[in-house]
Amino acid sequence: MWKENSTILAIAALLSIGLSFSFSGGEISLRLQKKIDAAIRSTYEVDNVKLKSITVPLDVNSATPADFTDNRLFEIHSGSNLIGYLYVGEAASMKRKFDYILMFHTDFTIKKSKVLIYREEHGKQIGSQRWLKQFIGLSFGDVLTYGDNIDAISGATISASNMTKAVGDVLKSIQILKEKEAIK
Amino acid sequence: MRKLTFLGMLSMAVSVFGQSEKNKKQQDIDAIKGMCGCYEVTFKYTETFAPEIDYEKHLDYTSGALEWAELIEEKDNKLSIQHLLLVNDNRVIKHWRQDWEYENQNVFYYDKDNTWKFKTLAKERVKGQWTQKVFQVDDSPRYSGSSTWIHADGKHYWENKTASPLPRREYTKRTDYNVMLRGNRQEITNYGWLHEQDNDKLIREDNQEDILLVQEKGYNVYTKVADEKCQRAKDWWASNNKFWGKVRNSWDEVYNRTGELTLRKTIDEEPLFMHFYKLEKENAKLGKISSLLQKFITDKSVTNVEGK
Repeated sequence: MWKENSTILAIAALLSIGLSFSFSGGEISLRLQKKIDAAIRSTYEVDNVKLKSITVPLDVNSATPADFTDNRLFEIHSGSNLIGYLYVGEAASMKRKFDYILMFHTDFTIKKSKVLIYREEHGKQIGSQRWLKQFIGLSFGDVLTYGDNIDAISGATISASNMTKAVGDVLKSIQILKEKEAIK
Repeated sequence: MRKLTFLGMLSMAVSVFGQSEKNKKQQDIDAIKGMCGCYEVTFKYTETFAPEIDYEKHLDYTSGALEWAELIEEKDNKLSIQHLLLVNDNRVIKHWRQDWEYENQNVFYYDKDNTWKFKTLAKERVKGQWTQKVFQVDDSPRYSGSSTWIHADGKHYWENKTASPLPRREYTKRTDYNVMLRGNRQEITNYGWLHEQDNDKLIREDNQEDILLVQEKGYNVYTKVADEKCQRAKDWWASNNKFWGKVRNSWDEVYNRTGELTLRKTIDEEPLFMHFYKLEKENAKLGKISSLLQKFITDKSVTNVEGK
């Protein structure tokens, strides 16, 4: 099912952000779509936004620590202008997984990160922008170390360290994608 | 002999109970009147808990002002207090009004989209209670609720939870929620009084359960100061109270209803309170005021009230 959707998305050059797209082996929920939509609109301060899925070849994907097998990396367009990039990811909290996004400038520095859906009560502090703002401005050359250049959070160690690792992995992966010219 | 003794005790008990009820009501009245006078007020609001992890809390709101609260009506079962703000340049702004009605059955509850539902509560439901009815700067409705004044452990307070439109501080700034479920707690203190709030910002749609966007703490401290500091507000009210008396009378006719009341956001791109500025200047007559109110009353649904 997800492969079919992936193919459809690859054929369609531009997708409206509101359209259904597959994610992590299944349909992305309407709830997550709405949250992605709201996050992009408020972060880039634009109303008319479209996403273009970036397809990463399987051999390149196998060389990256972050996952690009499904629709995870997008170009963000407003009208005819490329205004940034979006990565949609998952990371582990204590018992379950949470959904996060990284929104990039056009030079792949992080413009903003958000945790969009968190599925347990423990460790919700990682959703606070007071903590997440540490990732703003980071780019593919940066190495992240939880508790060192990224502040630790008391009571949310597992989620916060996994989020830090996830962001670090995406940045490393962006560098690999650039080196292999999978992205510009 | 035994029967007489029993009747005597019963009579004494009824008398004591009646006296105690009377004393309780007087305590309530004293507490309500305890909110009158001149106050230095600090307003503080902060968003607290949001169910959704991606909600980004808005900045705290803090403000301060000098406020005059005048008892403008006192009847056996009703007290009305008009609040007037004195802002930086000593300018007077007619602020909110709170009416208190004893064992009152007629209330209005905010629904959404500038619509209030007028309801009649059962007599037994309001026994010993006071309804607080809060009105906006133009004496249009805001919210109302009926609860008991509590006098215990040296404290005197009244608590209630009821729906209201967006607060004025967020009227023009927020479009992400449309109803505020206000938790009001008004406590008379040794320095004046404290208006504590535990509010829920709700998204309300027809035939759907309310969605909680975020909760909010409000902490408004009213510190009593010498009445003379509010002299300008007292003078302003003395000059303008006749006009606003006519406005209240006009509204009373509107409020004498059951069912819904929907008010337009604007007429000629101006909200109601702006129209009242003009009428206040000319000290307009009752007929003209009522005619203006009728223009604002509508049967049509009003949308986008949030972000007004």
